Amino acid sequence: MKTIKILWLYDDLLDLYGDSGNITIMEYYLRKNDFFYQIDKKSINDQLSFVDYQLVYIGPGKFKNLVVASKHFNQYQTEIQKAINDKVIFLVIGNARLLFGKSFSDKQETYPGIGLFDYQAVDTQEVYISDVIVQPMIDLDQTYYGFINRTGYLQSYDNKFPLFKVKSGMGDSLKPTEYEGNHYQNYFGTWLLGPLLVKNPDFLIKLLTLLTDQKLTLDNALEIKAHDLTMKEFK
Amino acid sequence: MRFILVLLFGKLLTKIGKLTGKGTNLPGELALKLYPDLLARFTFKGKIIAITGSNGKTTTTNMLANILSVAGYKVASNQKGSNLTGGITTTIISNANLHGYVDADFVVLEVDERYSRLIFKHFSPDYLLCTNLFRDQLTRNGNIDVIIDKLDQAIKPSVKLILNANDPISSNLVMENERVYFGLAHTSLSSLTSFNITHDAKVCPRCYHKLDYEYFHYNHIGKYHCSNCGYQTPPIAYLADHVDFTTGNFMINGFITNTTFKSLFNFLNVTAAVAAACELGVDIKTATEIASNFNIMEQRYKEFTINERPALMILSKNQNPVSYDQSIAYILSVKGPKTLVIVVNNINHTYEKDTTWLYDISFERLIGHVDYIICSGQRAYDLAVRLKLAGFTSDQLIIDAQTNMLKSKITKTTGTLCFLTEVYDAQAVLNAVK
Repeated sequence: MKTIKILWLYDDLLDLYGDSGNITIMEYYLRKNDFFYQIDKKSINDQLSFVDYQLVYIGPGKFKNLVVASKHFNQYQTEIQKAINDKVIFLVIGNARLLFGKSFSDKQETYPGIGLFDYQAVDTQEVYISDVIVQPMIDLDQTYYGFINRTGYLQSYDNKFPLFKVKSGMGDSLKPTEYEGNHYQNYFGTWLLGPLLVKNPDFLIKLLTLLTDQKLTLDNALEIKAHDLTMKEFK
Repeated sequence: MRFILVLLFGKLLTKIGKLTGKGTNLPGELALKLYPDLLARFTFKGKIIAITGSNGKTTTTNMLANILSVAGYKVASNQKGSNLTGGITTTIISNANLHGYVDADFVVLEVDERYSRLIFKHFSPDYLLCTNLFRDQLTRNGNIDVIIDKLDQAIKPSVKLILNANDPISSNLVMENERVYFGLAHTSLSSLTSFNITHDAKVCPRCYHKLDYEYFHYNHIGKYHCSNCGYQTPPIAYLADHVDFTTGNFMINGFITNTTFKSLFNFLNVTAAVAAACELGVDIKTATEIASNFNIMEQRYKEFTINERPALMILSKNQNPVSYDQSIAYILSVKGPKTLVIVVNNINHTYEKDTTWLYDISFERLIGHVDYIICSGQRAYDLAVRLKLAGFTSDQLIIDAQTNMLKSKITKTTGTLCFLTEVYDAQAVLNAVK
């Protein structure tokens, strides 16, 4: 059996809180389903290559750390764009999305992103929090829960590749938006924490199906119950 | 004249507050509404020392105030943890005479790190002790960098800092200021790798290069060195060593000290309080002797029985994973079979349903050490999922969101009952199991 390789980028710098849960749950079910897998952690002192990996994960971090990571990340702009076009899965959570836009700025400076998407972002250092209910664009019958806790936002932009339709709560920008996140090829970017894959068993199955090329059955009644109970609280 | 009236009004409210058992914050808050510059009007006989940080500030404040009092000084202090602007103002009002003069030898103030800038706008402490800085309540505080920026702005150049040499983050606070460090040498429980998920200093706070550790005491607290810029554990003026976890004996600069609460972080809290007392003029022999007689156990840990079954209440702070990690470390030290009761509700005050923070807590350490875990509170199922992913089996997990159902749930379990709850939920939990 082929080893599934996951690249966790900047786990040391982008480690705001709790998002290791997305890795934990993927690992849990890969192990339960007897897959061979390997999770590599790489950061600013490493050379990056994306060709060997099936999934690249980047989580949210402190703004100063994101600036440091972006200088390293931008050196690989061509390779990253190629990997995304070659359908490598990217799961990008929280302000790690800033790396993929045109630029992001704080009060002092503006920093370039790799320009995969045409949004610009602002970091304010003010905390915004919101429970969010969304429907995935690829399966509008489903509803997901996520939590936004961020100090920045994306300036309004024409979101040509939305990941979610927002039912309630905040979206990508300062004011509520109709759509949240980006889905392009196998790139999934969203502000939603939870952790996203833990709180939304349906999304986890969709992602693991992509990752393993198999339709898996998961022993996930507990997660489904937790998700359904959360959803009930919004009715 | 207006100042005197507001002061009188504040004193009156404080007296009423004392009678009703409430009002450590409110008198100060109201007085500040009537007189926004109130804090600028007080004069102080003695030195002011502020104690801040993510964890351990209440314990450290209470211990320092105790050392100074027992050593014979007159001390004004906000000992009940009312550490926001209102609480600080109440403390100063109740210790001032009608001229606004505070004649205490020392004013010992626990200060919330987020409010430091507001509190110290009108007066400044002479000393600031920072216990440590960790990720803490990110929905309210923002990340550590936001807190550091607030502290940087709050700390005036004249303030002498008393800092934790084992914490690479708070050790690096406003480097221009005069400073002295306390710290803890390697102990038998220190480890080569961090056994906690929450590790806020994987990279150097100065140059962002990977930070190397010789050892960890807990989370990111330990002995560190950056091979890129040379940033490292600074020289320690107040060093704790020779820790004996069985007796609670240890040495601070060669003076024997004892604590009843034998957790790694607590040895650092005691050392911090002794360091501060010494900086304020108490000799170290006296400081360590008084500190050794101070009982910390009762502040966050309470032992009791439920129908003759031993029980233990351990308070943690929601969205503060390090406080849960510390509670877990404590549970691991409890001998014999154990059932854990964990209560997780929605976020305090704002009520969002987020449970992301549960993934920062090292529940994995409990595997093999507890028999059952009862999951309770509004987020009981989310907690159960977290514990499942940590490796607990479904027959070990008992789930019921209704906290008032706890009594019937615990009868089905065995061993010492360890209640792991948030401060705000503790009373409801106690009522439910009585």
